Amino acid sequence: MNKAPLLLSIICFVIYRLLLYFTHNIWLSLLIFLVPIGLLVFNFSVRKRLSYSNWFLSPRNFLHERRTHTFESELDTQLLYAKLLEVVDNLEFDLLDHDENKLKILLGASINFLTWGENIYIQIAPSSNGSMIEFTSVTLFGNTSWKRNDKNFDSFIESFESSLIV
Amino acid sequence: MPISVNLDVMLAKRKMQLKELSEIVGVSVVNLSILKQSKVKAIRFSTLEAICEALDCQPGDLLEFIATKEN
Repeated sequence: MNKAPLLLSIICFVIYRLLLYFTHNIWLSLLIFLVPIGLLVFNFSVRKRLSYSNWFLSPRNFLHERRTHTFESELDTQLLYAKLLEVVDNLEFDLLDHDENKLKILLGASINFLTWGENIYIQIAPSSNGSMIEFTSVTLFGNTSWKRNDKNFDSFIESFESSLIV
Repeated sequence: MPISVNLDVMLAKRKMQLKELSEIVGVSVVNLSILKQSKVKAIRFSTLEAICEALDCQPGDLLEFIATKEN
């Protein structure tokens, strides 16, 4: 469990109490909470673009919980890319962005009771047996995905496997 | 894979494009391409029936068992 966002919340609360103690101005003190709110708004505004994938996928970004699964497929990269776009149509995720040249697909899981939603990055790369698929599920905000990252992968792989029955 | 799909051979014999077959049988071009490469996990009887009807052939014309050394 990534404890950094929890730590950030505690730090914000401590600063809020300190500001309140020294300034006695509640509105000025509450401004400190613009930091986490701003982060959430920023994440929501950039989530739909593949060009911001580095922000969510960087190991230095400690504010998100991410889970990566890698698996191989016998299909060649172009056919697999087309197949995955077809599979995504039947999933509960939204297709947010895709890049045929870079063989990247970005999906979004909607907000639910447990999380603010997740971004799912799929990267296809050629391999000796066909293609290699890297599936990464990242929380938009929060220190834990409550196993939603793993469930997203299970749901995806189940749909992909069953789609190979024609 | 010991089971080979000769869909490309049958398509050539019938002078039919994959897209055309896709429209007739109601299976996507992507799925037919995967089937053509013998990389599907399984094929439904209903799909096989539709392809055989569209190409006017028998299942044996589409599927072939190729014995390997292990077999």
